[in-house]
Amino acid sequence: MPDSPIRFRSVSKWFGTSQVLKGIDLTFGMGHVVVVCGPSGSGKSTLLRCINGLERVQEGQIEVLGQELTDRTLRSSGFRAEIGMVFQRFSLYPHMSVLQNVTLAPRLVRGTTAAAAKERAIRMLTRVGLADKVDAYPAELSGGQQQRVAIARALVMDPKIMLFDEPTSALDPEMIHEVLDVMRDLAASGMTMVIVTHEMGFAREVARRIIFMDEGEVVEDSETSAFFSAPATDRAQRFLDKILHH
Amino acid sequence: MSEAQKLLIWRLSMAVLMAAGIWSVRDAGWDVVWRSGPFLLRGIGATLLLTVISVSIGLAGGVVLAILRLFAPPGLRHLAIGYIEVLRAIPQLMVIFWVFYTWPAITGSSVPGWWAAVISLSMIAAAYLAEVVRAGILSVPKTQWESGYVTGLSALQNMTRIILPQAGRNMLPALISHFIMMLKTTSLVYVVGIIDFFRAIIIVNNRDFAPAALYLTMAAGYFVGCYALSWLVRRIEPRYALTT
Repeated sequence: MPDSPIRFRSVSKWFGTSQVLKGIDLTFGMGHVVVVCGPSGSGKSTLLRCINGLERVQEGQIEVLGQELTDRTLRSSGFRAEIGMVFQRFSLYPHMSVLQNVTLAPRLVRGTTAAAAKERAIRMLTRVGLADKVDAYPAELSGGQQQRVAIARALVMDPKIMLFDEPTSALDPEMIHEVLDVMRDLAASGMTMVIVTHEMGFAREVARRIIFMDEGEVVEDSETSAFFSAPATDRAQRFLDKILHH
Repeated sequence: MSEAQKLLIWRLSMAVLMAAGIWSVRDAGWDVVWRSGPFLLRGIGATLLLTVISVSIGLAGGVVLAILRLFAPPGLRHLAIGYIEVLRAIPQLMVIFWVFYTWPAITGSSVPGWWAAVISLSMIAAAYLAEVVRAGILSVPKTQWESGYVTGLSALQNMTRIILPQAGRNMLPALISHFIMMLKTTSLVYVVGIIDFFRAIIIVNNRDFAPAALYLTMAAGYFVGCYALSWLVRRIEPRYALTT
């Protein structure tokens, strides 16, 4: 296993004529938790979605788990399953029970038997505190519970990296903490995590490093304590002022 | 006057109207319908059979066409678009003529009436249902695709396990109305010599002349057929809420 599971080399990306990533160079450390933040439209979600190939780039290279992302590597379902992802919303399969949601990929992609997949799914659901909801359908769960199932569904594939794309942005305030608690546990277990979030309190507590983006560029990339005590740039300072004192 | 009383009066007047209606057609020649019962029932059977077969084949074809239209590389995609747009633009009767008359004229081999009917009705259904399926697929949030993709599901697994089941549910109302439309479109197959319900009524009327009774029977037959089919389709609707 390489010590940098994710590596961006002068990555640029355009949507039509507007450039959303401008020559990004980044490396992420094994077992590190990194929070990517910035105003909306800054390219932070796009950056995250490049890591598992949901977005492809026009320039530069991205290396994930020692492999360069190409059409060929991304075609490998086993490779994709190494990178778990939690979306903002609408990600659980509404026509399947919680158990079916969590066991689908192990059974189809890994060929796990139904019994083994179920046992493992229940372990993961227990880990996120939802062992009693195995037979529920997504519509019967609260937003926070749905996000915890989504985390369990990703974890059941035993990923090496977990990506979180604003996992609490669509939640009611009282449900945010239950999702963050699960993520906190996951961070403590040594998972490599890249998190796009506006929860700066959580970032301060859990992240080793903060990447601040604006207009497609990495404006600031610092240790968490340094970022919060004295951001190096005005743009980051203004962003922090807005988000911490609203 | 209370709401209950108003409702009672409303219902009574409807009942009186219906009774008067039925009374007015009491001598319309119902014995003709009664005597031709078995013949007419065979006609209804033919109509229902043609509808179910052509909608089934058409739905399978529609799924393929919709997927080609949405995801295939340019050449294939344009073929699918061309098929869908042309078949929907031309009169349905013309498709039947093509299959029954034009095709044999070109190839020199005749097509039996039943085959011509099934083939042309399926072709028509496929073109219309392709658009229904396409709308259904597009109605599934993009995150659903992405969730399957990032957990390693293949495109086919993603389509069959995640997208199509949800698309199927979303497109059910449109599917039912196309089902009903196809039931009525089958009446066109009289041109290839099939005795469907429509043709059976015409034949009986030509022989025994009882237009009031026969055409009322026709209306009732199509209505019951449509109602029964849409009831059946609605029954298979999966019971889960989509409001996540």
